[in-house]
Amino acid sequence: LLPLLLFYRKVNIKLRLVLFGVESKLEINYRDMEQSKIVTLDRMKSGQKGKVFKITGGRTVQLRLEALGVFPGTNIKKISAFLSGGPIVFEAEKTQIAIGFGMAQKILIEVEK
Amino acid sequence: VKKILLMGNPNVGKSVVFSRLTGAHVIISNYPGSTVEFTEGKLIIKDKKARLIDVPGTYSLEPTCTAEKIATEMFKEGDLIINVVDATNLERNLLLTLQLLEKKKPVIIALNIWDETKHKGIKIDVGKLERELGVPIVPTVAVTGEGINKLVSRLNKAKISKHKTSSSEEKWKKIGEIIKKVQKVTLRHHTFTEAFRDLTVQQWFGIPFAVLVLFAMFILIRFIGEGLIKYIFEPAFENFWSPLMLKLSAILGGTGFFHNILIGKLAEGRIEYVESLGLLTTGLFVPIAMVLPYVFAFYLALSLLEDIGYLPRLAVLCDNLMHKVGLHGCAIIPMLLGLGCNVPGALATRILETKREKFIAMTLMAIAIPCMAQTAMIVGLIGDAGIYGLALVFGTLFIVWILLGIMLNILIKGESPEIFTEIPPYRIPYMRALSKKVWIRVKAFIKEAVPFVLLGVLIINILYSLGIIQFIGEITAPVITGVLGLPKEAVGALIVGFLRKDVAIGMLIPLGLSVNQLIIAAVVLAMYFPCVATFSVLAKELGAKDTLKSTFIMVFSALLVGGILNLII
Repeated sequence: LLPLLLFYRKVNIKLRLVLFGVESKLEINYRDMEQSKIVTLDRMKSGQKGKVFKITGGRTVQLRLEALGVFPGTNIKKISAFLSGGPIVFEAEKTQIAIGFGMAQKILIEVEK
Repeated sequence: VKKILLMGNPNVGKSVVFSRLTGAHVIISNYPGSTVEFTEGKLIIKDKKARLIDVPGTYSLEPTCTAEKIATEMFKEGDLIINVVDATNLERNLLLTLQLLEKKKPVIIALNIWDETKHKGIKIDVGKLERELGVPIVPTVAVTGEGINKLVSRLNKAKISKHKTSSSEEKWKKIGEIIKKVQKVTLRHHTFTEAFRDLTVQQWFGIPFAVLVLFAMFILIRFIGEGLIKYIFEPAFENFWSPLMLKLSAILGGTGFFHNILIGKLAEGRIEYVESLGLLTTGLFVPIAMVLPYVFAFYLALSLLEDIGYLPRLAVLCDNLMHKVGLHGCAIIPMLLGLGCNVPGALATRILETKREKFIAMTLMAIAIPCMAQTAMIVGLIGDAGIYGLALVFGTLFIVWILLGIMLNILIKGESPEIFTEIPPYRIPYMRALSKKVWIRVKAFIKEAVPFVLLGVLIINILYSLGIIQFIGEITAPVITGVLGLPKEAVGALIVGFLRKDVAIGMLIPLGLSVNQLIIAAVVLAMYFPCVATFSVLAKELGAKDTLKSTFIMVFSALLVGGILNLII
């Protein structure tokens, strides 16, 4: 079962990379992100800290995040993630927020070294 | 009468403030056409009566979901706003505060959770904050009652602020400035509770921990429920109610129409509470002595989890699973409520965003989530035969829940939205608010259940004496006996099941079924149709067409699963 799981994860990650390449109309392309320490929230490690750089989701997502105090410039810390595609928990100032994986992919974070 | 609204972010202690302000005069009501439950109570200030309304929590007056829309709508009707603010999270709370202030209504601020600011190294200059916002501010610790009297005495000082309308960007800038002026935070080390709170949403620790928590809840419910039945309710009925009933039976002459309806059939001069089917015997014993103890125990456990703040974490942990059935993590909350009673459970699906989610959630709940009344009776009926029967009944329902959910997710077009929720810090439950909540829920059960149980018992008596049940039994025999392997008399239970599932399961007892037959009957009774109270909520929430669809799925899946069980066990 374990090799199967690992294989699944590998394929899943690759698939996501491909999808991400396509999605790079996000004004910042993938290579830039590698160099400039900007990653999407889902790719941060648990426990890593950073600052919100840009939220590329729709208006509703932006509004909901903003109401919780999450907008470009907010300091955040990733708390946890779940097996492929699961929810992401992060902390913004003193608030802990859980969001879906898709939403996390739309939040760009400038990570601390 | 003045309308006072309690408004604030979710989880800042509004309900505790509410409970403090209203004392005992609390009623629960459903706001017509609303998406979430709200609570209303009476408040007496200087001999003047006012209505106090506990508005559902919202982060902003720019609604992004239905619950927030309701809060925004209710805000328009308020005469005075008590804005409850979490002092330990001032910055985020101030957005709503600024939005409230610019709407030109008198506002007073309760700076709640004040005691925790000290532990967290936060210092807030209340005087300065008052000047910045231009409305009175009272620091409160609602859980202990600190500051509540002051809040009441200053209610008439609530003021309309001079803040002008601004964009939210400007508001956040303004909030930054205010925070700089009024708040000082001394850095401190992470506490144990914080480390624990982060740990409980990590998958490798959180999921086993959640299983442990749920198991502990199950043990607690069983322990309290069983204990209450064995040591309080059963002896009370046997020792005090039985003699009275026997006397009444003698007065009525021991037989006859009225005797049958009020007391039912005596078993060799004794009263068999579950089997006699009289209004004053079975009609009272089933809801009060068999179901109520479990309902109480369940709501105690659930309210405890709610008040500690565990449910949002459970929602996060379940998110992956819930996506398999086309829902997201937060849908676990209506499901859990449904385990108590499907009616509040179905109402709580209003927290879900789309029609598709509501349909899936309500259908799954109606079919595969047995309410506590049913569960208590199933435990009472099959539990004696050991864990095998119970495991089979609840295991089957769980498998049906998953498989049916996966099928609905594939068959119904549309996507399921993603989870988006704040995870509040853990808090120590406040016993008074907790017991009040449990009492309100138990009271609602008594009010709803007892009349329906009595009605069910009455109708079944009349149908029996007219020979209608026997007639239906003959007609449906091919299905009941042929497919499900039950005796045709079981149709009586299925008919009563439309009204109340607990009485229906009780009616299986005199049929002398084998354990396997009991298992099949319990599963079919749980699945084939919700009770009439739940059905009316379904019809109201889903509309006629979707309700019809849902009903079709119920009947079909109940027959299918019952038939399969009949073949394999």
